[in-house]
Amino acid sequence: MTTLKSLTQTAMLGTGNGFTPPTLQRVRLPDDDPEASLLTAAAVIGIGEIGGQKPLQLETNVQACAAESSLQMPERAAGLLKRILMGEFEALLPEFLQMTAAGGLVAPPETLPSLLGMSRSELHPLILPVIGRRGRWLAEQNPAWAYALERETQDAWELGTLFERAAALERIRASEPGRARQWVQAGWEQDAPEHRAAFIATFEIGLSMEDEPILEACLDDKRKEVREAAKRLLLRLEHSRFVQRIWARAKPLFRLKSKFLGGDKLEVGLPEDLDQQAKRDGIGGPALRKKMGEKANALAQMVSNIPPALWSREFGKPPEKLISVAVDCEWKEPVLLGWQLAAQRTRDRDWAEGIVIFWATQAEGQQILDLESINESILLMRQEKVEALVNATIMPPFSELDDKSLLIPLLVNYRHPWTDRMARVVVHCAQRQSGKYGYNLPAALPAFALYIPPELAVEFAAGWDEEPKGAWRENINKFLMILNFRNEIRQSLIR
Amino acid sequence: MPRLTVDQVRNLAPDVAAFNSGQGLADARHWTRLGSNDAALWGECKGSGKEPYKVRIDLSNNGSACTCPSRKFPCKHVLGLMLLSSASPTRLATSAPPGWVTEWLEKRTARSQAADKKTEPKTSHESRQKDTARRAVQREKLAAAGIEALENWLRDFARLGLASAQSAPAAFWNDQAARMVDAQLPGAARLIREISALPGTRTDWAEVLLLRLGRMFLLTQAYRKMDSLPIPVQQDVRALLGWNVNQEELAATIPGKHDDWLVLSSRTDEDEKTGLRTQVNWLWGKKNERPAQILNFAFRNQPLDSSLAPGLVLRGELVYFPSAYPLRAIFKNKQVERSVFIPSGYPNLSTFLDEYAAALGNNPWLDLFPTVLEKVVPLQINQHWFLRDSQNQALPLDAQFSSSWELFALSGGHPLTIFGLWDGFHIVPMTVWTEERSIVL
Repeated sequence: MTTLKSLTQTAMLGTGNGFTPPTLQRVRLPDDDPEASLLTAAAVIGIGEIGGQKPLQLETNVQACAAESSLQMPERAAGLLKRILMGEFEALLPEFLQMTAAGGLVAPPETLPSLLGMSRSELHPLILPVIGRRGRWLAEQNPAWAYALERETQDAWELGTLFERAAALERIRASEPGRARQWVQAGWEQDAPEHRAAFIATFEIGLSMEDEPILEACLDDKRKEVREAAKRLLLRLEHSRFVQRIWARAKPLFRLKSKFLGGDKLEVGLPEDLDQQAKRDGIGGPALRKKMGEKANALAQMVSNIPPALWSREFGKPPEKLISVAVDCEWKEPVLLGWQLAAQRTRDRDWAEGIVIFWATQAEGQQILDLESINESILLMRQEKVEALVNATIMPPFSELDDKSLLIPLLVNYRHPWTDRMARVVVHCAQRQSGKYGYNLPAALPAFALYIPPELAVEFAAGWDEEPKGAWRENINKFLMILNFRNEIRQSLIR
Repeated sequence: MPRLTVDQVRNLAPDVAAFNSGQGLADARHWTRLGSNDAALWGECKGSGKEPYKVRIDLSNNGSACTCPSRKFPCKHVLGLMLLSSASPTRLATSAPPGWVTEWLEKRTARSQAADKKTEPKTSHESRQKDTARRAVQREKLAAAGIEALENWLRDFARLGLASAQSAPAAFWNDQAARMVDAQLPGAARLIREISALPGTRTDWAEVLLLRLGRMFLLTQAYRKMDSLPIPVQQDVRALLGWNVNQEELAATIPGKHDDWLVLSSRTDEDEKTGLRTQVNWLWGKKNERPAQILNFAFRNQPLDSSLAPGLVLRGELVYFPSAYPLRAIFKNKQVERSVFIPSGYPNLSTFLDEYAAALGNNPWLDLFPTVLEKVVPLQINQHWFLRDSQNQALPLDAQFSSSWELFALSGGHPLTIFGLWDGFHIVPMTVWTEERSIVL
């Protein structure tokens, strides 16, 4: 019997190559007109087929999802979420998800595929609390979303993907760090080196001296990633053998001379013999900075692996003081660079603040310090310190925020919520300058809008110059749009 | 008129740039003398000119006017005012409208009333009849030539074979479409443009193409035998070829259907080549339990009717264009209703397919069959999506449909009611009802 499909196969080649018309039940096709026959047959057979088709029989069953236990987010909030998912104010998604989770709400079902499908894994921990029962049900149906399934921790460790196993380790570390160590040691031989490094990294959670032996053993591992991961954790343990070894090398090189009539002087020597042990501890390896000499690099590497709090304790001086005397010493570059990296690696807030203030207020700071990672130090700063810096810089009518001031990039990279007070000081300062041409300050406004309290959106709508110049006009609009949108989000999620 | 949502404003915008500029103006600090009443919204917006621009919006049909020199319609000031009123309606306090708003509203009502009134014919009834007859004869001659050209093109296509379609240059389709437009057969031109997009886009493209070509051939044969066809079929043939129906005459002569009509979906497509924007609106009648399609057209930046928002219920009289299976319609009169309803659909797929077969029997050229299916569950088997009914029977979803997972998430494994379009091969879902809400996809 001729079907549309079989007719199509002939039709692909065309009637020019010969065509025998099929016999149809109710229509007589011409014998001498192949084109008309083909086209007419196509219409008759085709319409007959689509008109006469029967549906498929499908016995597959889908397990229906249980009713949602959490409350759906209000419709207005859902509308805002959909706009964010379509690309408007993408940067606000993390805040939105946090506020939704804080309210115990879940996202509407039609947004779940977009949320679950987010490739940026740093969003996953924010997404999981808001997907609800429907989200987990969906994740069961699509292997690409398996990360959202809450597998039993042990199962996840034994059978899961790398992502699942690392997540399982993180969960176990929070409650039973010892068990995590056991698991990692048990699977050490079979696991791939890159995986081992990822597992060691999870020991950051609940890190303690009990982890020291396994980490010290990792320093002998064949793979660099494992050794680096171990070092990154060991340097946070002041009493570890690793830190003590390096401290023993570094301490004798430093001497702080206190002069009676003022002016401390820091004398620093370069390390001499670097033996095999030193190399094992990461000293003398690839240069931290190419322009520094070999020994200066070694000094920097040593200092960068010692918790900086040891120095303040040793010399009995606060970080700002030590940093300022270091500026006058011969080997300031390796010392300050080392202290910056050490502060970042150990999350030492006092030292991070000292380093950032040095960077923001002194020209040398921008030459000596590592600018690529200065943001990490900025993120460690305490709110009060940043606010104090702002208040010290912006004191109308005596001093305003200069467009070239490093306080601007500092504020841009200080990705934490601002206080009302600080917001007012900075925004009023910007408003006063909006009538003049500017470059960095207007460009920074949209970034500020992400962390200023959104309740101030209405207040900040007024106060700008009547005729904002140049870059101000567009950036003021963006600033207000972001702030207003964040305010709408906040209002829509309040119950 | 319910307050416009951001999505609706986005649809009204002539392009993305205007919408974005509108968003920038959706802040009260750009506006003075804002106000509103039941009929309109208004305000003055500071722009780059000396005087602020006067902006007004007619709430009964979202018409608008602005004194700015922009050629876009609606301009960014209108869009900004719409967004502002949507986000912060309290900013537009109820007040007495200024003179320039009342004048404008009055002119609008006068204009629409004048259009409703029948104008007095200047020439005599007899001479007008002769004119019409003469034009009709000329039209037929032109069309006959066009039909012949179309038939020859189809025959050539059949001879060369469908494989040639994949590598055919754009001119192969465009030249023929242009010839159809010259012959005053814009419907035929549209059909050609539609099939030109087929090769390579779906696995069964060749079958669908052959069926369409066969149907077009049937159309040419039907045209030749026009007088021997039943009247409804004649009307379908003419409609498909692109004969314009006089809508005023239609509304005046044919009785319409009174009902509550739910707007199910509204989609606008722009043909890049011709600049023609087509707005396809699907509605469902509550009592009549049948669909209606309303088409609106506009060129490039011209405004399109913005009163058919999905989810809206319009109570009024709808007149169907004559056809063996009537679908396309126009409103004779309508007003917005507060209530909403869920359309009642086919209880299972067998019943639905039986109806489809009957419809095809009436109009073999039926392209898209609008349908409401109840109690269906979407599910996926080997990367293909289906809708399964309560009797475990299933039909495939269109492979190009991009929101299958969203549909699946909305169902959660529970049955849904779905409005969609069936083309004989796949379903394209357009609107979904769960137990709690309705969502337009």
